[in-house]
Amino acid sequence: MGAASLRLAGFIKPGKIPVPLHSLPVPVSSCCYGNRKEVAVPNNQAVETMTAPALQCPDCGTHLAEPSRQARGAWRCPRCDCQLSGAWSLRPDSLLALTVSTAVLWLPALILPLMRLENLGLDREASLLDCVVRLMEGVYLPVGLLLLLTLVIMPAVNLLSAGRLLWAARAGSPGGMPDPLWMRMYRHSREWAMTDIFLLGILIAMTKLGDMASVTPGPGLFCLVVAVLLRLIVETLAQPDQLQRLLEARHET
Amino acid sequence: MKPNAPAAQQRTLAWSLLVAATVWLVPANLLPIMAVTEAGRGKPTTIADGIWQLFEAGMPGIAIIVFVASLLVPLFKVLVLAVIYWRAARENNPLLSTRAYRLVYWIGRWSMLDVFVVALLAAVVEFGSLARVEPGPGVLAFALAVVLTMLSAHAFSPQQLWLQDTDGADHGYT
Repeated sequence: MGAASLRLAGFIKPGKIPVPLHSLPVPVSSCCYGNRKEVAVPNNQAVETMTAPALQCPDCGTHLAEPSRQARGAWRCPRCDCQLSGAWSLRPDSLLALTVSTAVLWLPALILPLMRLENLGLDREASLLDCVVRLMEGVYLPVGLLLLLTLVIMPAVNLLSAGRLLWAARAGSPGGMPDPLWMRMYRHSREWAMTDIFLLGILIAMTKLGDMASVTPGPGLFCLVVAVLLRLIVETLAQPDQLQRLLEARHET
Repeated sequence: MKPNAPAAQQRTLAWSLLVAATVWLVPANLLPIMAVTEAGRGKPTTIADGIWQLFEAGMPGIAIIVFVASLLVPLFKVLVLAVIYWRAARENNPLLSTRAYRLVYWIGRWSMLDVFVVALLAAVVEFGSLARVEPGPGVLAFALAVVLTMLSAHAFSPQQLWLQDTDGADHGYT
């Protein structure tokens, strides 16, 4: 009872998906495709043989068999409706190219001025780094550090980890499986990198300033918009669970 | 040993982070998040003031976005998480709770919007004694509240909502 209950509660976090199926005494139900909303395949019906590759739903912990490659659409867990795989196949080469172009745009997005404000003959420009530095003063240091984390460090971690994982997922790339730390970094940076929200913040700040001064967008804003769009494409297509399975498939043999 | 003792521990951590976030939400909404100084006269603004100013300036669309992101979402998130944690011990509709959890998990980030707006305004509007924007103490409390709610949602794993599910026989953990 003790060991079983420990296992029961030792929630397997996403990222530790592979559980050897032959060690489980229970049948495995299969994922369903598309947007079907039905829940919980009756477990005594959908029994499959233990040959299909397995995955575990990160949200409800159900062990599922991976569906065959022919079917199209997104996979969803039949029990909790968690999306397990995107509707598109993951192409590491093109996504890696997008990541590299994001990285190229990202440095100018940090240091070039986002907007320029003109008022009574005075003008002033501010870049993303200026915003972070401005709040690092005095008692607002924690907020400044939070901005540094969400706008500078985490997007950089996101680019690096996505690049490393996609590089390893390419066909015929040398080297073994990347350190699991990279996958953890990728998962966390997807949540804590908030440049997309910052973009909406720029829009609001510009409309707020519009009536007191003339505001012109700067070159940094252009780089930031494109970098955020590219990052959104990469994040939508490179779902962490899907990427993890692809990596495991590549480095199995 | 109780079968879900670590789950209860997890909930304790999630609850305490959530309570801390709720406490910080009070000064976040009452204290000014920034002070606009024009020609020597300072004017502190709270979150609600900022939304009202946007309405008066004739930008209801933007005002509604800011209202949702900085007033509604933090409150809604705290309430929904509290209901989810409260029900988790004897969950009878895990699918609904898991969906609510997923929703709250992803909209929580958008509350950072107000912090970013303050940072931008403070960095751009700096014309010496003519016009300045200074951050206010409210922004510190607000940022803390947002981060604490995000960490609280992190501390809770939705897998524990499914432990009591009767269909869970195929869980592998019987």
